[in-house]
Amino acid sequence: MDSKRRGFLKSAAMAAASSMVLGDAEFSLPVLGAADAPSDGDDLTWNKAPCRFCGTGCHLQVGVHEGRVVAVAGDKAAEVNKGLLCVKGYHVGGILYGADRLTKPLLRKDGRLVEIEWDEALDIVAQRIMAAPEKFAFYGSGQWTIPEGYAAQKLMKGGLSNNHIDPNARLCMASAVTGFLATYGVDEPAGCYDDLDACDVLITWGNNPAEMHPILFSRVTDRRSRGENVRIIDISTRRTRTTDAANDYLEMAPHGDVAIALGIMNQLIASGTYDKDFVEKHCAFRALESESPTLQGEAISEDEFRKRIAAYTPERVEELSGVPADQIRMLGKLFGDRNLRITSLWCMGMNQHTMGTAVNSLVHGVHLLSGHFGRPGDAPTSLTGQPSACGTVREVGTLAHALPGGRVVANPDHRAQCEGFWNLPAGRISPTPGYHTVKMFDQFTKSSDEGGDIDTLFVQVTNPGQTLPNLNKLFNDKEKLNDKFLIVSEVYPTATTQLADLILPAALWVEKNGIYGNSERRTQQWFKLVDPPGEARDDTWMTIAIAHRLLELGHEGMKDKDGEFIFAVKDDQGEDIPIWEFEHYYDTNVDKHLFEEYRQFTTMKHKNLAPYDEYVKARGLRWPVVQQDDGSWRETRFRFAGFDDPFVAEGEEFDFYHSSSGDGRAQVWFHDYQPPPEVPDEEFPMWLCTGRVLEHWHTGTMTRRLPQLNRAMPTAYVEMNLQDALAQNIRQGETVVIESRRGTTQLPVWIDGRGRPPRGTIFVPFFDETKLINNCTLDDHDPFSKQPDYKKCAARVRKLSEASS
Amino acid sequence: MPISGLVITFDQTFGHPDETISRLRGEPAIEVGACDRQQCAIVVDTPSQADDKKIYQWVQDLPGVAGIQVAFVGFDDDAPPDSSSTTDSVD
Ligand code: SF4
Repeated sequence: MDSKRRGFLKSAAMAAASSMVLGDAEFSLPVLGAADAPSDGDDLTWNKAPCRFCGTGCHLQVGVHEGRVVAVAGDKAAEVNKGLLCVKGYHVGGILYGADRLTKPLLRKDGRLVEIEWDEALDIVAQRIMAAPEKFAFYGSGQWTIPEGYAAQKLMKGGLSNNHIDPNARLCMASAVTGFLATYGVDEPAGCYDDLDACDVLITWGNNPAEMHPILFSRVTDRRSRGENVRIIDISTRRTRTTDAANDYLEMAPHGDVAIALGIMNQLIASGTYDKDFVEKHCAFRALESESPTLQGEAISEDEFRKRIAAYTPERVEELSGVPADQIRMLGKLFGDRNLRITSLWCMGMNQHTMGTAVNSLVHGVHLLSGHFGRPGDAPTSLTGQPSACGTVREVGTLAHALPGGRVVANPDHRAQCEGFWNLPAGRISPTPGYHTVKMFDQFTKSSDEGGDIDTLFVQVTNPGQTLPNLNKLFNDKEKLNDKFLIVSEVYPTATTQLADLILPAALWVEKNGIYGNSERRTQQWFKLVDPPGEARDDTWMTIAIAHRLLELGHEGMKDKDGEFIFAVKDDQGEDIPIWEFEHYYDTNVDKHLFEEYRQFTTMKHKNLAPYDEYVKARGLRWPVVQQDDGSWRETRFRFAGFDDPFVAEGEEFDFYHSSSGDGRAQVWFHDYQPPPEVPDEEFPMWLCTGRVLEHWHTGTMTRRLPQLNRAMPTAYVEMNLQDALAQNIRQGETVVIESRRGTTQLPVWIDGRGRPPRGTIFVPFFDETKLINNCTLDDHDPFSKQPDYKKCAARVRKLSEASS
Repeated sequence: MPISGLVITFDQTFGHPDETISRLRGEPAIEVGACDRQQCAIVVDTPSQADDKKIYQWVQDLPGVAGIQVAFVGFDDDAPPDSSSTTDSVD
């Protein structure tokens, strides 16, 4: 590193650290104030961007020198993280510079990948789609920016009349969506991160925010270090770093969360400490129909609810969950105390669950029944793992059954509204939901003769070759099927590109414009700051360029009802700007065009967004964002609460204005406990749970290329209880074989490591593509959300010598 | 080596942050910035990863240090390792 750049970096490092000490110091753009800036530093520029990794949505300041990201600092002006970043965020700049970036389109010919030109690549994709548009599927993720997801959605549903588009968020937070829909009639949390600054009690339900959402967790632990009293109750199947900070640790059996939520409601009713006034004014009761159950369920009376919940006494809950009856009573008492503010947090533990919709609804129900809702600090809040799972998947609706702005394909009015916004002929959008993720890959990896009716699959911004459950069934089978064609847009070689027929090199993070939506309804914009390497290009551009090739091939769906290209952008003279040619893509801000078009969709469900330019000025805004009389735009922190939500009529305390019962009420659900689909037995005696670690983000394709993070956590491992290890004569660090009925993988053992599972449980993180634990996981899924359960299946641990004999 | 901007938080019951700050000033790899009785900003610039670790540990062990937060990381020029996936590209 030359001494000039080193000088810049030292000055910037000092400015960032000092500004955190001097709480009142300005930390605006550029980060170096005039007094701090070295005299020769005027070629180091700073700009804002959200972190590329998790759904927390921390804001960064990104320092660019000579076209390269050279520094990253936490953005002190950002409310989410107040200048802090976790270890991943601090190293995020390095993800752009892995030595093996993909820089040319690659086509598999005779089993080997050869470089081709973009023109040929686009022709191949367009011809595959043109040959059988109904057999094409598009798979993305919550890492899609909002414009990327919106463009993909429009191409598929508005252009190809094909609903086979789904994101890997299906594997990540689909049960949170169905839980919100079942309870409030509309998706996404009512509260926000401010609840963490105001709660007296934080309950983590199968959640390890100390590692997975460390910045959010530090908001609570910082309060404690300032002398405030915050009680943390960790309900989990194993001890984690969150447990280390918790006042209470309640160890539950897998699926025990369902029983615990029922037990708390039982106690609230039995002791009469539920919030009668809140329930009477704002809640209704609901349960599944006994035949053909639906997400909406059927209304039940309060008496019926009382009758059913009476069965879940603390003793019964202890049997089902393993949590002592006294602790269930303790939770019941806490929720019965209206003087406390209680926030519940959850993420994959409750979502990756065959009763995911049920347990999400039940935890909302605990908060509603107890009235711990709608005051700052009183909130049931689900977190997301991906940076735009909320913005792109849930709001843009890039799911097989959905349309933008909370609409669904099955609803004729919703289809007509979308056709109107897109200026499409009536009837263009298909009413039949497409394939959800598990079904999509099942159909793709099944031979055409056996009914596998997806033959071309385009994957953007995700890595299903590592993240799908039961990989041998849902992904690896593709290798044998010559008529199936896998297209992957990627930045690095991954487990998915290993089976790709065509690889398209993609631009990453600040190599393109973008907009994300984080876990607290905050929409965040950034600009392209550096060029992508070689011929790597934007995902939105790829989608538009493919659409234009289809137009050239004569696909009528690529035209609106006036005969215009569906992605047409005009200049001031009304002439087309050829944004499908990459050299012209940045002649205009395509993100802004797409966002302004998308914004029209957002008002139906009261998820109103401000104009694009407002987000340029802000460090994100939480929707609904509404315009004030003075022309300014105001965000909303607490939905449905009269003191903050602009859509609650004046004088009303609460209004659940998308209530599924149509009367402004939220639904308190009853669900009976059901056992997990697979439980340990003699042959496979251990529970297997999978998850993440602090240092790596999801499949590690980015973080494993950062030397600092890779050194800190170089390999996946299996966490084992000491007694289990002793019983099998397994030593610390020994490589063992993990087996389930579906597959195997080999891992080193970590006894009493970072996480401490109880006897009979093992835990394996999924970030390591050389040790694919998803060979072993189960593809059973929730009946409503279709989200698989990665948190529990039956497995066994064998010593290498035994396994090979 | 990355250059780090760190914020040291002092234990509130510790009465002598000035002494600790003087010791920080005496360490050549450390530059001391804004400090008050609760917190102190420093920049660490070392020639190797091993030295960086040593300095971090040394700071952590100083009297009265309750915690260290990272405020900034500048990147080194080391090429990171490849992952194990390959595209077996043929030029
Ligand atoms: S990974 Fe998540 S918590 Fe860490 S800096 Fe990025 S957004 Fe924040």
